[in-house]
Amino acid sequence: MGGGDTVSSMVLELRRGTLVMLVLSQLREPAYGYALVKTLADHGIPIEANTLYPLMRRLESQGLLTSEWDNGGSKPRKYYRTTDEGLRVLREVEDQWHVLCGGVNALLRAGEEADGPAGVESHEQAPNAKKAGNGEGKERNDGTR
Amino acid sequence: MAHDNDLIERYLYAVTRHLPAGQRADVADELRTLISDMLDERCGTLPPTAKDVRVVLTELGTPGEMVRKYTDGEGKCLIGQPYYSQYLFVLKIVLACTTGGIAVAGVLSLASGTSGGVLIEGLGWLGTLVTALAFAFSFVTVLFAVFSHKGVEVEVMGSLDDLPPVPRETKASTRGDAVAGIVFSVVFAAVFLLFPDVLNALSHRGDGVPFNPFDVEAIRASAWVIIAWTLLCVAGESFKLVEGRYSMRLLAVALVVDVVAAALVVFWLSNYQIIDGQALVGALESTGDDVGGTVRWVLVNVQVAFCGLVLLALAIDAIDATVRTLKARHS
Repeated sequence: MGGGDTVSSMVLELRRGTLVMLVLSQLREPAYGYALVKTLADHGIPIEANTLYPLMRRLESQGLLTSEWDNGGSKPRKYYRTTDEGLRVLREVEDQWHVLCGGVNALLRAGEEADGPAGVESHEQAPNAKKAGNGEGKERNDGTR
Repeated sequence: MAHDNDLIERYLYAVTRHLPAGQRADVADELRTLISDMLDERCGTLPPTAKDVRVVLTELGTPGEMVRKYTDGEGKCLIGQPYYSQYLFVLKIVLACTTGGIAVAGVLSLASGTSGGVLIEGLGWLGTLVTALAFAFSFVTVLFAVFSHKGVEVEVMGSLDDLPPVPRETKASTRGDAVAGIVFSVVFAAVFLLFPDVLNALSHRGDGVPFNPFDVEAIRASAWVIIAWTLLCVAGESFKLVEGRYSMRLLAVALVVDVVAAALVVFWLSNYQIIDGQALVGALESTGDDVGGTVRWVLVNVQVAFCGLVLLALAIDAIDATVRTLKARHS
């Protein structure tokens, strides 16, 4: 149980670290909060609404997102969109993300090889999120969308 | 359904009332649509029941949780680290000293027989203790809350050049001095403020007859000066503790505290007749000995002499703080 909790908490930390980048990238096209919750969940990244909504508001106050109310539909909806500044930040963060992923993957692979053939076999699936215990199964670990 | 709407509106109100006024309506509108979307997803075309509303709100999180996420914990803590550990430290000292001072004075009061019945005196003592502890707790808490929120930066570590030197001797740390200062201030205040009768009860003339060198009424009338002095000293010493080393900033605070303390003492002793110098002379001469020139002058003008002594002590403290600061800068 303790081990399971540790894994869940580490996976949560990893997910949290990528959340801002994902939000900025997904809001290139305007979307409202709940739609984004659904999109992320469909890609195996379940984020609670009570985390995403405050985050979008914070990013807006930082000038990385902008928002607009649409009262034309069945219910009023607040649409968020990434600003030019947000896109600039996103590009830089994405570059760093690819560098980070490359380095992390290389180090993990080197660690597996050092474990020997048996270790490689038993750890072959390790980077896969399925093994990490989040049960989503569709996450990719190379940082690409 | 009206009931369900009430629950949603009450939920939204519980969340938004803790947010900045300018954001409340916007956040409420956004969350209202979110809750509606979540209900639509859960119930489809069916109208949501009260239970559905409860499930969705539970899924969304408690209002407290929502507020925490929206405010991100900013400014929501009264005394944050690194102040909190210093706060606990000072609080322990002040509470212990207050208890100790009042306990000692209470025992002396009982032993010297200035009190009435033991039970009445005990109850009065307990009431005094509780009041004093509550006051001490409030003061230290407010003091450190101000330190924490008004940007008294504890760590002077903006750049590598600002790193404090490793103390070469234990004296370089302000901790011991600060603790001693706080202990003295609190005990002094506890005895003077709460049990001025004890001071008289302990005084006996040379021939053994009790007399009253202290004017209890004057002490009580000038209680605010003693309180102001104590608060000033505890605040100054707490800052010393928080700063942790003899810096220029600490020197400035120490000098200001010394000057204000000196002003308070001069004001106190020149406006209130606390000690009866003539009674002291009479007490010494009660055995038949004649009190000579200088000693007599000192006793008759005991307040002036005491005032001079305190000013001298404050001056020494100011010089000591300056020397320590300069030494710390050059070490």
